[in-house]
Amino acid sequence: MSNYNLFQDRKKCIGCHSCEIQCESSKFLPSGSRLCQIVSDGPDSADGLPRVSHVLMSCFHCKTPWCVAACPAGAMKKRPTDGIVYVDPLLCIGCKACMTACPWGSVQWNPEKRQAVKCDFCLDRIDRGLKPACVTACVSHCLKFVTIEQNMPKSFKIPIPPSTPVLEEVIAETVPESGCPVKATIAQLERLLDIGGLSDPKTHRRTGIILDLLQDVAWGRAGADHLQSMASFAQKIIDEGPDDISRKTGQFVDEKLTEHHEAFVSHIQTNNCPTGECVKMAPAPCQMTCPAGIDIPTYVTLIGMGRDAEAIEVIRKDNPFPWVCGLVCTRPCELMCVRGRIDQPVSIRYLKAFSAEKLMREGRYLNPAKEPDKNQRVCIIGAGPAGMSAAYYLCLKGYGVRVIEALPTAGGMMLLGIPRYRLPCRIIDLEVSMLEELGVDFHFDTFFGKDVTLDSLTAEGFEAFFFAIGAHNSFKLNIPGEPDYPDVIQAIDLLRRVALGDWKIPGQRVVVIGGGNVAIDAARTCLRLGCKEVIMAYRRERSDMPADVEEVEQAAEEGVKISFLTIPVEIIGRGGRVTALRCVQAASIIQEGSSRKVPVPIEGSDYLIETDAVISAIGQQVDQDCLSSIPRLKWTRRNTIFASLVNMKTSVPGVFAAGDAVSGPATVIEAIGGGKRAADAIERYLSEIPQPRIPPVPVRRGRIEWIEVPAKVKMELKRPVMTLLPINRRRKTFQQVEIGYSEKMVRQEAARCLRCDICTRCGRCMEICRDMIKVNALKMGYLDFDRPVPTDFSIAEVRCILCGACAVNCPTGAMRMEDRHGERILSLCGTILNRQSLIYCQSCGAAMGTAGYLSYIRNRHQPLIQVTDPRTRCFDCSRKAMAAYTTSRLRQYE
Amino acid sequence: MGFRKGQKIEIYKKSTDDGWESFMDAFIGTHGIITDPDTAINDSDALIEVSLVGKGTFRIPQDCLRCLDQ
Repeated sequence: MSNYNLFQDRKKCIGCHSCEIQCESSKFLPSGSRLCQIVSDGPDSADGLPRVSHVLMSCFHCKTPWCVAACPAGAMKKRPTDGIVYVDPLLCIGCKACMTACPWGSVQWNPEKRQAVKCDFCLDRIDRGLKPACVTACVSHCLKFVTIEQNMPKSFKIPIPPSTPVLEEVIAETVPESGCPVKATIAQLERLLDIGGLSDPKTHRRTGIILDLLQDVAWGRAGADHLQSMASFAQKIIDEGPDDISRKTGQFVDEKLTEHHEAFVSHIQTNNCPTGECVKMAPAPCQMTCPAGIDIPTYVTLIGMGRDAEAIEVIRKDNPFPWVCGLVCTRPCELMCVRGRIDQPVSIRYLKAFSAEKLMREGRYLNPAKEPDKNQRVCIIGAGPAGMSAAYYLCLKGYGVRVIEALPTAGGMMLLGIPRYRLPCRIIDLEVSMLEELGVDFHFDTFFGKDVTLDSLTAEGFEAFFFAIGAHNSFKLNIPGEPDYPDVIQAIDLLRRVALGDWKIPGQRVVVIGGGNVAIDAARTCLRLGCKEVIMAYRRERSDMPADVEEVEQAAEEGVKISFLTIPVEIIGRGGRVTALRCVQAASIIQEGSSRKVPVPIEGSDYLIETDAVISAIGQQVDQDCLSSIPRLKWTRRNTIFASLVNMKTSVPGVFAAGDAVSGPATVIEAIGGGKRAADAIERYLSEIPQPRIPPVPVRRGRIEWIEVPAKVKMELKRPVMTLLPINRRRKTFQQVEIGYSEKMVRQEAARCLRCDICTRCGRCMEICRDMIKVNALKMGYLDFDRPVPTDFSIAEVRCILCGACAVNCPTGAMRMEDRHGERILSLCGTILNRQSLIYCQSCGAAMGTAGYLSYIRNRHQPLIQVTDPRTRCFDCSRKAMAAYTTSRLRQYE
Repeated sequence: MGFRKGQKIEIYKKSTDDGWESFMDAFIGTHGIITDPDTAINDSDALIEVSLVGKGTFRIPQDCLRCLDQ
């Protein structure tokens, strides 16, 4: 027992509950957490009269408290000096072990703080020589608080937070450059209010409102007018604040809103906090990786649910070509996919191809509604992925868009640089037709710099220009014999010729020089054109090849031979025809002072590869000639157009550029991302809105509920193997090689997604389970980017006791514990980690926990006392039972 | 080519290349993955596509990168 006692004279108690109310308000508890509770027992007959007993039930502060023994975190403590049992809120992990262990129902739950609370006789008050709050509020004076010893002992103080800084110091704090300004402003305002320095009630209330609005911004609940409201309240505080501190507070808020305006707007508009500090808005790694910023977790989940139309709608908000990208994207997202740290990444790329094809087949692939016409016109030069993406988004925003293209058809590098066995022509045509349907005006066979110029287009009324001319010129080999023979051709020229319908065979035996994707495409195209032998000459080792591993494997399967460490030195011919390629063997060595391996020719290792044609695929560059009529246009030393990566602005006002013309030969998805960014920048330019200073943050397009999958299934589901066209057909035809997944495979594959848009992988759940509860039921080795270790979700099925501490401490709600159909279920983003039958209160039928959990609690306090009563009672019923017992015992003495 | 697709890297310093923009200063110290080293094959001077944890995907010069998993 403690050195104090709280006595109640039941005869005096009138059951007014004023003690309960005072307790709640003095402890800032939400309604329902009753640390002291008046439990009414009866009516019973006493002296022949019916009588209701009002029994005060709080905490007995036991000599050997079970709650202290049960607490795995050391949060429940007994003061050694006076025996008061209290909860240290800094340590409580919310596992409810103390609540379950207490046979009197003394420990209660604070749903707001998600922690246990209990009567501590108002420690802070008695340490100051005051009585507990309930005693002071008792109107009938039935409560008495007395010490067992006459002299009040010198109390042991509970730890208090370190001294709070003065108001000015909080205001003067600056946001770290890498941190989130929204979160930092919230923290500073919270501290301002906690310090209690705002004595003016109006200022205090207005600051509280601003704080609420800021919380909305941080949790993705803010609307368009939140910023304006905050600014308005800050201004009111400045104008009407009666003291210096009030005015400084207003100025502080105002300065933060101005200084970090872009970050606040970005939070509201994108529902995304790139720093991840606003946990509900932390972006998924896959979305952050996608150069177009597609909301991957949302569309993958929608596809998993069979909601293909909604999935395509989500994709097209950031990428107008889901089908094309579903087949040819280089999928950087899959490299960052967290699932890849467990086994293999989710097959993100193909999922969108499946949905796009299905919708197109069913006639449900539709354009979104356009905004009203803005009466402003934009001219786009180049009908490739960057140009057409910009055209799509500008058209949707109500601008008149003309696309000028030198070729007779749209597609750019998607059409010319990617062979048909990877991307059939009809798929490009179908997605381009959606742009035509939207109102984009295509002008084919029109050369910029020849048929039209910047001046002529300006005279026509175009107010902004976007150059997405690609990189169509090839680098030269610069070896003897290259300019002498017509059979020495550029890979990109060959691919272009074939794409436009000229299927002339370059030769029976062909050598392709290079190791990138274009080289692989050229080699595989040659096989399909009928070449008997195709050899790739690559000057480094296989591990250095920049081409996709899958593409290299497929090429080898089809019969392309790859000669590594082979350096071409001369093209030999006779009678105007190529007859052989002279090469030297190279050795890959690390040179002094460098960590990189370089190919060094081996002297005297010359040999000839007999061939009819040599195809060069060592890279492309931008054709500057067509832009020579714009002398003010600045170029980089890499011969690409100089443009800011943030807003795609060039050195010429009103002229924007993106795609390969800016980056050099890159990927389709990068070009799409650049086109989308340029569309946004062009809109700002035409609307006279300042351009952003930092690259745009990917937008969270939705908050989709997760798909429920048992842990075992989640672990067992493997990435499906792509079905390929039979090898004999692949060698001879341009038929699409990747046949695709079945619908069942697609839906299952989507269920492998870990939903990293919800779980931020902070690891708090795992720490609590391992270090506090000491059950160690969560084995999630994928949390660390640099050093992932094995993961096994299904281990929770064996070890987890369903205490719920992980769920209570999860900052994003990714870990969830809920009671359903007689079971307690623990899930992580829909992955059901454990489910066990519930045990119910034998008195009222309320759920109490699982057998494993109750046994865990029992084992913790078992050494203190042997439990002989086998009944299971919930917190409320325990308290009522104790009140009834107390009443009956006391009546024996009356 | 010094970097390969899928390699984990760190941006350990500011680049002096003109492909380095001022907003990239905030990238120093971040880790990421090479997502496309293919802009110009075997050219140590080429910009390469890198996806940085929590930052996004960008084309950046190679002189500011170092491998984490050699």
